[in-house]
Amino acid sequence: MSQIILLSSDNVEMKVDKEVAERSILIKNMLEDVGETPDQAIPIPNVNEGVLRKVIEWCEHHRNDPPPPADEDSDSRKKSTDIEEWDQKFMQVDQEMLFEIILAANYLDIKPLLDVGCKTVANMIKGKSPEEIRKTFNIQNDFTPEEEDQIRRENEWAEE
Amino acid sequence: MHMANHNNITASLKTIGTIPELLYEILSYLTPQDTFSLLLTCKSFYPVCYKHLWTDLRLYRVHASEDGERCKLVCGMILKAIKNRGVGGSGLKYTRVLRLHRGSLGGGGGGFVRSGLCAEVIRLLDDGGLELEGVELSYFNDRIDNPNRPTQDGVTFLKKIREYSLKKGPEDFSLAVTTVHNAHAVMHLYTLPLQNITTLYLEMDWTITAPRRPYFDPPRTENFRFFENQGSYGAYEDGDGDDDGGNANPINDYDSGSWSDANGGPISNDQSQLDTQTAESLANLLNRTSSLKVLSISTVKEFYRRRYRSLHLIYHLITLKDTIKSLQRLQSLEIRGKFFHPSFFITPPESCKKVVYEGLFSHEWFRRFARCGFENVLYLRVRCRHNRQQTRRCEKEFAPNKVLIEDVRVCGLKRCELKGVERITEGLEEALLRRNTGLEDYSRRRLESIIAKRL
Repeated sequence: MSQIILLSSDNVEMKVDKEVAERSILIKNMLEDVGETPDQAIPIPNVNEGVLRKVIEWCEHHRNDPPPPADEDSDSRKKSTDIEEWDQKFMQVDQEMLFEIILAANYLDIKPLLDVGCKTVANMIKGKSPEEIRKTFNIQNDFTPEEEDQIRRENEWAEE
Repeated sequence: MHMANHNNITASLKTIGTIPELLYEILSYLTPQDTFSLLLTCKSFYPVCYKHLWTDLRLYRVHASEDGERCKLVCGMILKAIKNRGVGGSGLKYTRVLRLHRGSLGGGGGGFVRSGLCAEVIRLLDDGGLELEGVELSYFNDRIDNPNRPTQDGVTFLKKIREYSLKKGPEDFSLAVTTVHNAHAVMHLYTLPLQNITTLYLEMDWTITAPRRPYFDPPRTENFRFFENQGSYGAYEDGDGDDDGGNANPINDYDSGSWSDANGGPISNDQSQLDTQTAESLANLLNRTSSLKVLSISTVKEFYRRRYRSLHLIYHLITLKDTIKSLQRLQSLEIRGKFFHPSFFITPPESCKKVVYEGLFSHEWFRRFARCGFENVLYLRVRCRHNRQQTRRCEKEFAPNKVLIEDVRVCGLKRCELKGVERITEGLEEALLRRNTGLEDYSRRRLESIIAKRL
C-alpha cells in the first residue's frame, strides 16, 4: 500500500497510508492534482504534531467507512447528537485539544470528524444556563446589565 | 475554508465563534432554548446566535406542541419584539422558515391568529418585509375549517401563502403540510397550490368508514376558495349514522357478520380495502402534488378488533398505487400503520432514496416486497407490528408458517433495518445480505445478528 508523508506546522514528519490521509478531502484533492504519489512531505501548515497525530488516529479508525449518503436526512427537523462509542472516547480530551481537532477537521475538510467534534461541543452546551456555559468554557461576560436586559426582552420567546 | 493561524493562541469556544460556519454547525444541534443561552454568554457569539434563532422560527415549543396557551405566549412575545424594534430592527428580517403549531390558524386556543402575529406576518408578506424560503403548516380539524367560525386572518394567511408559493415555485419555497386525511382537512389542502407542496405528512383515521366519511370532490379550478363552497360537501354526508351497514360496496359478501375472538367479543370484517372514497380521495390529492419530495402516511386511529379477508385489488387501490409510484420527485416515502390491507404493497417511485414501512404485513406483502427492485433506494426500513390475535384473524393472508423468501431484487442498499420481521419471514435477512454488498457495517451486523439469533 502506498504511503505519503505529512509535515506538521512544527516540522514533524509523519508517514501515513495514502488511503488514510485521503479521508481529508483537502489532501485527496491535492494528491489528485499532483497525479502521482509525491516523494516529498506534504506540509500541513495549520496543524501541529499533537493534533495531527490525533486526526490521523481518527482517520485510521474510520478508514473503511462508506461515504455518507448525499442527502442525509435533510428533512429532519433537528439533528441527532448521538455519537458512536469509539468516537466518544476519542473526544475525551481537554478543551484545547477538542477545539484544535475541530479547527483541523475544518481546515483539512474531514466532514465526519467535524460533525463528531461539533456534536461533542453541542452536548457540552445542551441544557445549560448562560452562566453555566460561561463557566464550562471559561468565557467572560462582556454585556452590560442594560444590554443583557434588552437582549432578554427581545428574545424572551426562546427562553425556557 | 478558514485557516485560523492559531500557533500562539489556545483554541477555545471563542476561537470557533470567530468562524461563523463552525458556530452554525454547532447551533444546528441545539434547541432554540440552548441557542438563547449561548447567545447571552458574550458578545462574540451574539450576532450568529441571534440570526440563527430567528432564521427558522418555530412558533411553538417542542415539548408542549399541543399546548395552545404556550404557543400563544411565544407568538405574543415575538409580536412584542417586532413592535418594540420595528421589523427592520427585530430578528424577523432574518426569518426564512416559519413553522406553525397545529391549530395555529384557528381563532380558538391557537396562538398565531389570536396573538395578532398572523396579521403582522400577512402585512409583512404584502409589503415585502419578509423573505421566506419555507412554511410548515399543520392542520388538525382546526377551527378554521368550521364554516360557522371561520377566522379571517387564518384564511387570508393561507391565501397569502398560496400566492407566495405560486410566485416563487417549489424549488425556492418549500411548503410542508401535516394534515389529518379527512374531507375537511383535505379541503384546506386544496386551498394551497398542491403542485408546490414539497413535504406532506398525512394522518389517517381508519375508524371513519364509508359512507359516513364525507365525500370530497376536488375543485376543478385553480381559484377555488372553500368557504364559498361550503354547502357542497355537506350534501354527501350520510345522516343516518350507520357505520358499517349501509354500503356502496361493490362486493356484497363483505358483510359485517359477527365473529368471535378468544375474549368472546364480536369481530367484524375489516372493510378498508373497499373504502373506495378514501382511496380515490388520496389518489386525487397525490395526483396533484407533483413536487412532493417527502411523503409520510401514518395511522392515528384504527379498529383493532377487525378481521382481514384476502385482498382483492380493486380499481381504486390500483389507481392509488400507480399514483404514488408516479410521484417523480419523491425522495422519501414512509407508510406507518395500516394502509388499507396487510397485503397492499406500495412500490416507491424510482426517485425514492429512503423508504420506511411499518405495520401489519402479510405473506403476500413480503412476496411483493421481494419482487420490488427499489431502484435508487439507499435506506430501507421495515418494521412489523404483529399482534397475534390480529394475525390469527386473517385468513390466507397469514398462513401459520413463516413465508420463505429465497431471493430479493433490491441490490443497492446502504442502510437496512428490519424489526420484528423474523417472526413472519424466513431467509429475508440472508437474501438482503447476499444481494446488497454495499451495506454499511452497522446494518450488516444487525442483519447478521438476527440470523444468528434464529439459528
